[in-house]
Amino acid sequence: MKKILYFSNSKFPLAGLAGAIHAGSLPLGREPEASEIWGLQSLNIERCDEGKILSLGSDERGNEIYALSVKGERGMTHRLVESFLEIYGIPEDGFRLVDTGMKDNLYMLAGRALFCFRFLLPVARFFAYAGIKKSYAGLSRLVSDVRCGTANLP
Amino acid sequence: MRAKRQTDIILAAVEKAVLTRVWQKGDPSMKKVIYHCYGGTHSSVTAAAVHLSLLPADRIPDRGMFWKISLFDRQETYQHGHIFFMGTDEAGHEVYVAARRSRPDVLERVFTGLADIFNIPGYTYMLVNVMHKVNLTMRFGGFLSRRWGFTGIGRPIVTLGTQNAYFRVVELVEDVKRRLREHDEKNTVLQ
Repeated sequence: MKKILYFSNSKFPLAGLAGAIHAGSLPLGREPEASEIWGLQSLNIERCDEGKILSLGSDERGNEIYALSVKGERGMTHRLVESFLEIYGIPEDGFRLVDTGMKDNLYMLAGRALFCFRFLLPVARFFAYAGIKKSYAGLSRLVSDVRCGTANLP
Repeated sequence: MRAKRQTDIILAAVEKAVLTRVWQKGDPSMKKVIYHCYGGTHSSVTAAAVHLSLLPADRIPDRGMFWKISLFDRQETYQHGHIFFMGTDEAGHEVYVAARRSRPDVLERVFTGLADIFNIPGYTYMLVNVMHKVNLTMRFGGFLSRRWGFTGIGRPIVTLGTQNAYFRVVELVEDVKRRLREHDEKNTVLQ
């Protein structure tokens, strides 16, 4: 059993989406319904939790799934995670960092900006959902690769 | 099916025990103290050096003493995020420095998040933000030396700035040491 940490270089929690797909909270083979997205409490898309590690449950093999999104500090965050493992002497085979390699698209950024205004919540959700649909196929592919063990490590 | 589930539970328990041993391999009362600032090269290194008694706490060191510290004005941009070990203090606490650019929140959230994942208790580490002690001269000299590569001009300027801010850094380190002595579980992140 491993701890798998998805990482995305984004303001939008793309890593969280990938993690939720991996943990089975979101569907792998098809695009999710809007209600499935907004029903995910662990993802908390509407709050800006950049840098916070989200716990998304476990997959069917018992691997624990986590997600981390940080915009603009990809290398720094990777080094920080590696250093942490090093200074605590945590063996690398029990942990895997998966870089989604994906960035925010314009819809996601618009959605994020609009989440600041509570009265624009439906519009924000509309944009965010459009952005998620646009990136969903790529995230699903990545998760399939990770599950098969064929995804490249950063 | 039931046997597989039991095996999973046993494996999870074993994993937790192993990880608990990992952080307990030293004395659990010993902390990892991580001083962090923008570039991890001036204020945090100075604080770590004072902590380790590589620099005196009662007087302002001359610039030669700063330049003798291996990490002072050395770290490059591509190393930001890496946590460098500086030494072990007289009480056995490990002292580190790290660069986190203008994102202290990222360092603190990622570090505490990872600690939670691996069941590492908050009282085994302390994250100390040294950036509040940095003055304008240090910022200017640091930019000249590290960002623009004018080490010849930037290093003396940043050293002068560090000398001016020295006792403020010493004060912070003394506060950290006091908290370490008190072994306060709440003070894992010091802003």
